[in-house]
Amino acid sequence: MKAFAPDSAAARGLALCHVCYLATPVNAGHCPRCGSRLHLRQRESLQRTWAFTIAAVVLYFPANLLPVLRVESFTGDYQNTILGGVAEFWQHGDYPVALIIFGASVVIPVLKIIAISALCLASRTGRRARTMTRIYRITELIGRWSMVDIFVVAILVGVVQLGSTLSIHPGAGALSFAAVVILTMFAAMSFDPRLIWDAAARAEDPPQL
Amino acid sequence: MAEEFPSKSQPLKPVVKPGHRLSPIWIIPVIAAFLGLWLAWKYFSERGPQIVVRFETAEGMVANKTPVMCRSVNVGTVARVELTDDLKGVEVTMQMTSEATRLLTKDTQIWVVRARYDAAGISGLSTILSGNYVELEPGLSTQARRRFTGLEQPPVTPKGVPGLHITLFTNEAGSIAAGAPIFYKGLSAGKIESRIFHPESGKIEFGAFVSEQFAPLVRKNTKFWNISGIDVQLGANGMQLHVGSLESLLAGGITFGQLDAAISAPPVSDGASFILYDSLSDTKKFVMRNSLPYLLLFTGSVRGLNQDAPVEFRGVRIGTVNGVSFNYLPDDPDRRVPVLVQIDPTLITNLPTESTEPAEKFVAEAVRNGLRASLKIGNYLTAQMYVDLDFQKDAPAASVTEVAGYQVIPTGGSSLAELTDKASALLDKLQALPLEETVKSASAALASIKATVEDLKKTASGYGENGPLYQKLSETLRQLDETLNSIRSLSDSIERKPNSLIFGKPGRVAPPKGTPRP
Repeated sequence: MKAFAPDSAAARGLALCHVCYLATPVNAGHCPRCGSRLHLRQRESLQRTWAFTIAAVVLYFPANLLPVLRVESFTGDYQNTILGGVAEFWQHGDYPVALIIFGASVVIPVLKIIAISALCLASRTGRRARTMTRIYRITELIGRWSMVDIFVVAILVGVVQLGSTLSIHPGAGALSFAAVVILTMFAAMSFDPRLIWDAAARAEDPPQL
Repeated sequence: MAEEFPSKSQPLKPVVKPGHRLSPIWIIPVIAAFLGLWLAWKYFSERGPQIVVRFETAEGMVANKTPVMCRSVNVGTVARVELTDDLKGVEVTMQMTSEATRLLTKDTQIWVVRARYDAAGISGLSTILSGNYVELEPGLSTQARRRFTGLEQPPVTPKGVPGLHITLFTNEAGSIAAGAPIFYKGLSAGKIESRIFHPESGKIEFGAFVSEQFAPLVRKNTKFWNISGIDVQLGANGMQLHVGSLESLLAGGITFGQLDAAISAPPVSDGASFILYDSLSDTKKFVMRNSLPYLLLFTGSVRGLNQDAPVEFRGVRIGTVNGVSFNYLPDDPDRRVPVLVQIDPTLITNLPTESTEPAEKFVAEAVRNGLRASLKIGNYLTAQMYVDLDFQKDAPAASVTEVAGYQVIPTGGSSLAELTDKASALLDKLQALPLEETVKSASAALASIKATVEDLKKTASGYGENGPLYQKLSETLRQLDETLNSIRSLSDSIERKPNSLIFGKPGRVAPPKGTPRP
């Protein structure tokens, strides 16, 4: 049996409509106002979060190993991975740019995956519930910034098309990287933070079964 | 609906569906895994083998950037550039694409394309903008190879192009360098591929390539000569200026042709060697390909024999006198004059030219059969001498001996010393003749001849115009003339009237009528 926090709406059988946020007894099955299906918690929240996270982890490798950008110019072909680009900026002395790319494209996705995994684990143990909630908020907030790289690639590919003189094409790495970012965003979205508090309540007062 | 509304006091039983049902969302990581595996497989399948190429310098080669091209198709990238362990070169590791695998065979040639200006002209200008790149020329072999030694100069002729590869030898490289063109009648027929200097012989060896079209024109008697630069000739016809093509002017050029067209020599095969002459006129000069030194020991004087004098066999030049000096053999008790000659027996034979051994054997055999060296006068005006080698039938048996480190061909036959001996013997005989007595008797004979002539003169004067004989003779002749005249008139009248012989001479009367006139 799933146990909810004793002071939660769920414990009283009330569900919040996912669409119009109307609090409704969950027995109704459908929201009386907008007609969407009612659930006490997000459906299969943990499974979905795990699935998205694992998919993101899998795609993280090609995202970093394959080139994100292929520059074709009359001086020859030239392609770079994310880390290669970071190293190049660093070598040229563009430390701020290198740090921004490194932060947005390498650190944030990794941190996000770690954070979501931690949240998923915390929603079982219920420990450090407040910290976890804060982590959840930050995760949601920073997730979109990882798309900086993809935006740069998209803009470059769109703008720099000078035929044989210079043209830029996205590499397979860019696709994988975009998938990683989107998957982590989906993972963060499909995570229901209320599970943390349910778990916290369970930890304090283990259900008698 | 209102009674169903939950209240705090009356909690409703929540609908709890059985948990731990496998959500269809797991298809996402499965897809991601497939995607990742596919990308990884694609990445590794496109990666071909890595090769290591050794170069002298890594000029212009940048790791992960410099491409490897084969006929302008990208077949790889330079992955690493490292110094070799002995610090004498660089080892460039190249990551090839999978398609390039079969290009990497035993005789594949690899070099760096950079902007060059050399004898072959200006090349690689595009690399000024694009940066250097590595060019790979696939070979013909099928044997795989992963370690290569890069060429410092791009090969002039790609492997597998049909044609003829020959070698040219010369003493002076001139402006000929690798890449210089070879012409035939002004048409581009090939290129010089390599230039090697042989310090031991002092000769320069050119590797030359003649394209397939012109290969049959290269025959055994074909001459190659240098046509670089400008040729000015001042002669009876005025001044002649001959300028080769601009290319040959800049890079030097070689041309070839059959100069003695009467002889159709057999065509040559790959690896044949030729002499490269400095000019067309030089082709007529005497050049030895691989000469052998021999010492000749003459007993008589060698006056008139100079350095560079010809050595001939039955009038065909086969060598040159290198020097005349007692230094070659200082301790000879007979004080024979040592003459060092260089001869090339291959000029009159078909011996292989790769080594000198067959030629040495040939000379030794010829000497056993009576080949002897002798001095002969080549020019009677200047008394220039030359060395003549010929077989002498009655020569005493001899063989090539070694004296003071030199091979010695025996001398013999009509040397100048013998000629001088004969001449002095002739003079001696002349001297021994009794000339004085002969002269005396001759003068006596002359005196008697003189007297006889005087008598003759006297006799002849009797027959002169005033002589008595003459008077009598002319009188007789006059009478004879008269007699002859009367005889002529007689014969005339007899002819007209034969009967007058019987009836006598008639008077002046007309002949009777009816008498037929003759």
